[in-house]
Amino acid sequence: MPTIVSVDDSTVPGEGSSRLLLLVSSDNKHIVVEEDIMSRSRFISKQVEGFEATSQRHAILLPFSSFVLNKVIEYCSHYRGYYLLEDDPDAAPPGRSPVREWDQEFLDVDRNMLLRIIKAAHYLEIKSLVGSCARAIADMIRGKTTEEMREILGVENDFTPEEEHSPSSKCTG
Amino acid sequence: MVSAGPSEFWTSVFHTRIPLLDQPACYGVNNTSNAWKDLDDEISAVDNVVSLVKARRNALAAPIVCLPVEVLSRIFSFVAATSEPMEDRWDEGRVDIGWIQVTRVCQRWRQIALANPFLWASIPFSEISPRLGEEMIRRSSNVALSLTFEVRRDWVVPACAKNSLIPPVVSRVRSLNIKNLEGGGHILGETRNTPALIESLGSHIASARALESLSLWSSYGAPVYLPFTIFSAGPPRLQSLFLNNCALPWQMNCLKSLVHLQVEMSEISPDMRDSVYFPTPTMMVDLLRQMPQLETLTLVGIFFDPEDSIQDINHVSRLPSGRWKPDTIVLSSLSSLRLIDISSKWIAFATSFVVPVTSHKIFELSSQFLYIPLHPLFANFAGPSNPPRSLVLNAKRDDYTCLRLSQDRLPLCEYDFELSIATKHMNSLFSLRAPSSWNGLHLGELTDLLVVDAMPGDWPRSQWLESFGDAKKVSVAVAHGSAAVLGLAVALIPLAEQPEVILFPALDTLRLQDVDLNDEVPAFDENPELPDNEMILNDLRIYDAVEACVATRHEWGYPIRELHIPRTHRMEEWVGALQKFVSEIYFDEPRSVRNPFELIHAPVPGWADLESPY
Repeated sequence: MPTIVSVDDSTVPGEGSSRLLLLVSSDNKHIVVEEDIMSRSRFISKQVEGFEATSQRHAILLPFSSFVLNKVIEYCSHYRGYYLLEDDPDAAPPGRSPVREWDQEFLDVDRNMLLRIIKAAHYLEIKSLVGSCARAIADMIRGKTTEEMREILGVENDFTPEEEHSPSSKCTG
Repeated sequence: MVSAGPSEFWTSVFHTRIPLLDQPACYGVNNTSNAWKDLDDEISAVDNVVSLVKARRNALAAPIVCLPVEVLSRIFSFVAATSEPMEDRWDEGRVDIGWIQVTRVCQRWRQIALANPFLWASIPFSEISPRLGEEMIRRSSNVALSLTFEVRRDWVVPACAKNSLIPPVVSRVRSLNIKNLEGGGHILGETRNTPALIESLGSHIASARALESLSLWSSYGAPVYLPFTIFSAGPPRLQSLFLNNCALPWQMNCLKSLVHLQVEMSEISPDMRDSVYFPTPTMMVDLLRQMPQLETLTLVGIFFDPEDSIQDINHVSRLPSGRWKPDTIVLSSLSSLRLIDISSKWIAFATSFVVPVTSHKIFELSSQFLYIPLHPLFANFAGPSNPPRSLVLNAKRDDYTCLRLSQDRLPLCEYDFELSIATKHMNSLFSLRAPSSWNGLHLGELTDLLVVDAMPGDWPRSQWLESFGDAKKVSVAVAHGSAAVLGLAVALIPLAEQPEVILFPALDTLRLQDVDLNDEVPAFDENPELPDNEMILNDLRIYDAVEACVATRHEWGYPIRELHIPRTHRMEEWVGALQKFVSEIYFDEPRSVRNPFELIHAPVPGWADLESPY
């Protein structure tokens, strides 16, 4: 859970048609964003519900950098007001639907950035973004051999020789 | 807490441990095998320690290894959903499920993949060993299963699949997909008798309480006659039925609850007639009336008896004019309709479909025998606020002859084809194919038109004008021959006696795409693919027509600014003549339009505006 600190109401206007939230990144950058934009995040929504219960406005501290946070905000801004099936808790999980074109461009980043975004999306409970990132990572490794996957992802073989040379039996009982 | 350096520590451990194994007294003279085993155990233990250290290193250096379980599971599920089976590198000749590679990357991935039952729930039985099939069923725990059998000539249905594997899990099979490939007709059964796999699975399918999707695909030989046992008692939750070359007993109750129905028949054998496998118009209309939930409907090669009289069909009424009019069939959820090579009566009934305005409709209407009836059908779905997302009208190359014949032979006049021919506000038609007659079509506000594989000759200029008068951009692509290019070019020429009447007055870009503009276009007798009513053209006539078009339009004040024509070896001759009338001329590389549908489905500028960002 993030640390929540009280903030001055003058910093974060709390009432009105477009309420604002103050998000604080791990590198201590303060980012003001409209609540509407971040409503796609279940985590943020729950925080906001908490504000309303206590009648207090808070800044929300998040455990990732402003760079990553800004990417997430960019995503949420783009889909502001749109219904995305993946974010509907009542909807069945989407099957093999293709990656949205905009998402493809949005996620055209290096591997480390992609991993940071997916972790942030997971933390913020933005299922659609997690799904898009997961698709992007799946695309990176689909059809690759084990060695190629390890090389692409920077993973070391941590199997014992016995496990390594009998993977089929290990996987299939 | 590690008090010493790693080297000192492990050396110390080694020196403590190994001498114990070196004691000669431990083993008798003839007991070297025990010594080997003990040493192997030591190595195995050391390997385990090394493995643990490497896993820690991965956790530190490879962030992807440490993603949350649910995120990694999501990634794996995407990999699994789109991976093809591949050959097992450890076992030559054996095919493995493609996504299994993720279990071999590192320990954590393996643990997560093995523990996720959903990953193991899609089982391609014919691709994998029966043992792996069993293992996948076991690992899938209690989640819904998707089973696929791709039957090949050399593949025999494992007895275990039929007898011991499927029955216990049939209650959790959600999707069953049986494909009969490469002439393995004997597996599904080529005749009414003994459809082997179907027969054996039939009773199980009927009792599959969770079955939502059933796909039976036979690509070989005579139709497979599906036994009544499959549909008689269920399956109760069946929503999608996809059949290829499989004859369906149409009167089964479970069909009424379908959301997706696709039936493709390559041929109808004579013994199907007068049987429950032969769909009569009455049967089909009655069925559709009870399927308001239907979202996609694809019928290929479903014929009614041409001799079947419309008077015998329910749900038709006689108009004052004496014509018969099918009653409305409300398909309030329909989003995709594909009617291909179906009989005229089916098309007539489809004109009475009422579909929601908001649905994205993809209509692919094709008829080898009739074209005229498609027009009112098209018109029915092309109202002012109801443009289809994609429309393909596909009349085959020999339709011209068939059209004439069919007009004589079939009682088309029985149907009211004058209904709903009003498409003036349709502005999104971009994929017409082979329109051989434009009678009755009015597409006055059309802004994008792609004509593929058009017919020659009978493109009356007046019809062009009436139908496409306001089009601003026209593309023509021709898969065979070049007649349509000429036909369109001629149509674009203003008539000297009627200067105010000009086709496409706003047109400033003309793009011609053709496969054969060179002299190498074979004459008719060298090209049996061309029907005898096809005009044989070469680039000379085409360029003549194009030049006449741009010159005349220029003269009358309707110049074409940009012209795209295929590059030929005569290019140089034409540049001089054309550039007097056209600002920009582009000689494109000739395109080989082997599949006109590639063009049909090419993105059209402006369409993006109509779509949501996803």
